[in-house]
Amino acid sequence: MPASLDFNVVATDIISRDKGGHHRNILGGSNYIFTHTSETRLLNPTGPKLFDEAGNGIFSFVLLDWIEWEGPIVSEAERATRAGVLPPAEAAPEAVAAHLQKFAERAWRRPVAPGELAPYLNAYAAERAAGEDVAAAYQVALLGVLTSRHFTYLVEGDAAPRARLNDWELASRLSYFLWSSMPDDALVTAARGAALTGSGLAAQVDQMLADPKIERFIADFPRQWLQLHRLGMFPPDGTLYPDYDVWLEASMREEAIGYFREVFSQNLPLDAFLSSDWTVANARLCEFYRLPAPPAAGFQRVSLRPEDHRGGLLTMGAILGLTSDGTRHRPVHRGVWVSEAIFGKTPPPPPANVEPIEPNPPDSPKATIRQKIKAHAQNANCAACHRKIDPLGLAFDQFDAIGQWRTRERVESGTGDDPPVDASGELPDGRRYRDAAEFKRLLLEDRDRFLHAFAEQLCTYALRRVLTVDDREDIRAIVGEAKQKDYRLKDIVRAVALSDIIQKR
Amino acid sequence: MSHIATQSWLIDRRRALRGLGSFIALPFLECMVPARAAEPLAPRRSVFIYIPNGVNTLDYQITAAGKDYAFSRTLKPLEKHRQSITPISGLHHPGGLGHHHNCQKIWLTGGQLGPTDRNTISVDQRMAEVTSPHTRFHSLEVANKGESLAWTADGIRLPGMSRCREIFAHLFEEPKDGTAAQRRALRRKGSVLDANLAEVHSLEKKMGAGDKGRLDQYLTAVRETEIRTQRADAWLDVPRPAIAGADRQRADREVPQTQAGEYFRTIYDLILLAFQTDATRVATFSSGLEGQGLAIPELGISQSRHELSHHNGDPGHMEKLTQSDTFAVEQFSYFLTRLSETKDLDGRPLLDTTMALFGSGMAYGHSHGNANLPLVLAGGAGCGLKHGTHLDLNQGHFGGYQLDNPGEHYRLCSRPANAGAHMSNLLLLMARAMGVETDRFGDSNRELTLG
Repeated sequence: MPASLDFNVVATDIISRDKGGHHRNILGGSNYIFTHTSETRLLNPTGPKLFDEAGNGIFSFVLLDWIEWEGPIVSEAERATRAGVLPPAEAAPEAVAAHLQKFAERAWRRPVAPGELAPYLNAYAAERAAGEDVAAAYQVALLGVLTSRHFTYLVEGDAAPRARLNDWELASRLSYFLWSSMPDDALVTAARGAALTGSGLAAQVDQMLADPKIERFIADFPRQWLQLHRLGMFPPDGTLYPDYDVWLEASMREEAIGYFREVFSQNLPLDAFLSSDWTVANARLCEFYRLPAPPAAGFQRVSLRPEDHRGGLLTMGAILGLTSDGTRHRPVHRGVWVSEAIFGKTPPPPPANVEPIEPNPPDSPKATIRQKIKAHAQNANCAACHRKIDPLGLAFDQFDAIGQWRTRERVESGTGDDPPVDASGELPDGRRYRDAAEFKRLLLEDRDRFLHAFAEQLCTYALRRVLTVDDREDIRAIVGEAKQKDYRLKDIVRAVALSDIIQKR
Repeated sequence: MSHIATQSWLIDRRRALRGLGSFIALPFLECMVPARAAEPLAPRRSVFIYIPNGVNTLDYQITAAGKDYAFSRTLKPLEKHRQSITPISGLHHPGGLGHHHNCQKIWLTGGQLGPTDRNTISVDQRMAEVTSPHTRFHSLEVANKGESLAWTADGIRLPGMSRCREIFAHLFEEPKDGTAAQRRALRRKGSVLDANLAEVHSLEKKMGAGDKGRLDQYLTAVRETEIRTQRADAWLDVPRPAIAGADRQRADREVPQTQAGEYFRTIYDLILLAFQTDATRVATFSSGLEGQGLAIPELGISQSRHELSHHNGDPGHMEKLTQSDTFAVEQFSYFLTRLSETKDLDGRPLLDTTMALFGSGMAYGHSHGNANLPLVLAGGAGCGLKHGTHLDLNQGHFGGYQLDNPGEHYRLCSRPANAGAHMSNLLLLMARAMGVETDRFGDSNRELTLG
């Protein structure tokens, strides 16, 4: 019977170039979606069983008789971007030089003096002399322009020191900050017309914030800020967490990005990152969080009740998972993450001579990780740092290594029942909390510290460098502006783009 | 008999290279050493094999130092190679202590890692600087998860190949488009690099000192690419060695990583073939990332090595970890057996000129103990290595092994007993044996002495 089925397939997980494109043996990975009847593991008695004795499928899966691939698909829009890249077939050397200069000005994002291209025009001439036609010889010149340091690096400054960026450098800085790409025609025109000041600059930034390319900032900034690359770095143990799969992990990642997108596009206050009564989820996540199934397909805003134990970044599956190690939750890692992402402080690494953690003896009562890291508070050497780290992570002990809610901690080794979870704690300043919800309320009281750290994160991203004490005044100015705008996200991003610091070398 | 058993292809290669030698331009470095006869020493090789997450150190540790040591349960499969190996205890990387799983990144570099630190060159790449003028390939990086053990001087990790078929084709198959097309492509690449260099040189004079560091990095990359382009061009006229018969059957095939044993052995076969045919003299093999060490389905082990290493004292998990460790040692033993059975150019076993280092950057995975690293150095008698003992750097710095008191042993695996016993001392020994002229590597404080 013919049927139409929709699949949500994360294509990069299937055709992975860096792993050499295993198309068939993908079952060998932890993140497979397709398999094939020639897959040897299906014949392996220790491999996963797909059918029961009666021949019925054990998992929900779809058998495909054939798949047709079409491609490569080159759209009209893509074709259009290539128009005019090559000079005409019978172009004279002067016309080729002019053509290359136009290209180099786009590639290097600034005016290019004719002499600068001499090495590349020489290469063109040498290729022509070696018998290549115009197009083939020109490709060598193009490649040279694209492997030049002016393309690879964002080159700022001259031999003579100057304190501020010129218009071209500013255009590039803004465009790599907000679009992760080169300036477009409008920005180039503004730079050429020296229009990147005052209201001209504000108008440009507003256009950039409204452009669809802002999506790159929305996807990339939270990835770096929240350290989302760590999600799945230690794949969860399949025995302990049978519900975890590649689609859940992809959904978790998308929740964090989608949440940031919602806060940004609605221009909500930063408080939403710390606590909220909504999130952005798809059906898979709603099932995982035990929320009602969402009305539509795909990601959407869904509301949360207090008994759902979610809301804000800190209790998202992605954050709870990336601060665990695949087997166990890691309160210290979670504390370090909160310290870095929320307060902008990286604790020093542990000294080299710490005592190893011993395994739990099988004949002693089961112990939680919290009980095992008590030494952090008792040993003066440890306590100096861990007093500031551990309370930021223990608040999330009611969430396991993949972020599921629990009231008891599953312990493999030892006697007796799994011990109940204690998620209470005391911050270094003496304020106490009983669980993650109360901890979030304490963070909200610290929103100014969070704002300050967040402004620093944004500036680090925009300037591509670590901030120093010399930047203090500039950050303070951005923070002041943000407070006037009620801590609203898009306004803060705009304030950074228009700030003084962004124009400094 | 297969073609390579006689190495008759080398005759072609010598003839071709003599013809070429006269017109290769060598701008910055010696580009390529034409004839083997010109080398003062027989070829020397090195290979480094990493297993992630340390071992079940209670079953791994050899307790007696010196000649008359008894093999531990885990190392038992190496017993037949006793005279060709040196198990080493007590080494550590100071930069690895307290840095959890970063130990893999600095295993061959001895570097420091932190917010303001950058990794440095790995020892295999130092060696390749010396060996690569003689071989078609600079070095060979194999990594089942794509992230190799090799790092450039700028602290950038080199990519690794994971698929057996891909590695075979890379080493032994002529590219499909023919010599003329490749030569044209290389010439064009050379033109681009020349132009980039010309641009930089005109710029260098005008530049402030602050920008020079970044420029040097760019310049080094361009220059190295240029040298490799020229070498690749010179190698175009040298036919690749023909691999036939059993060697080809063994190595030229696709093996999924779910068949862990087959996969390990095929990778070892490929490295052996690369050395035997002198395609390269330096290889690294990462058998897993710290988070993704292979499960061993044929032993019924479905957990990754990371999961097993965080055993929390569970006897079942610890037993499986020992089985997984022993399994990796067995495959390494297979490699040594094949190296000892394969003849080098002068008829001696390949093992005599091949130094193989096997081990991990972690000892006690459960608590990320990065001291007393599990390491076995093998082969290379012809490079001056003297084997037959358990080299124990802990001796004289502690009260003896206490395997029946796990806490005490785990402490030894977490805090170095002998603070001066840097793993870089071992890497320095190997580098010098390969002909690298240096008296320091990483944070070495002296060269390790075997025997």
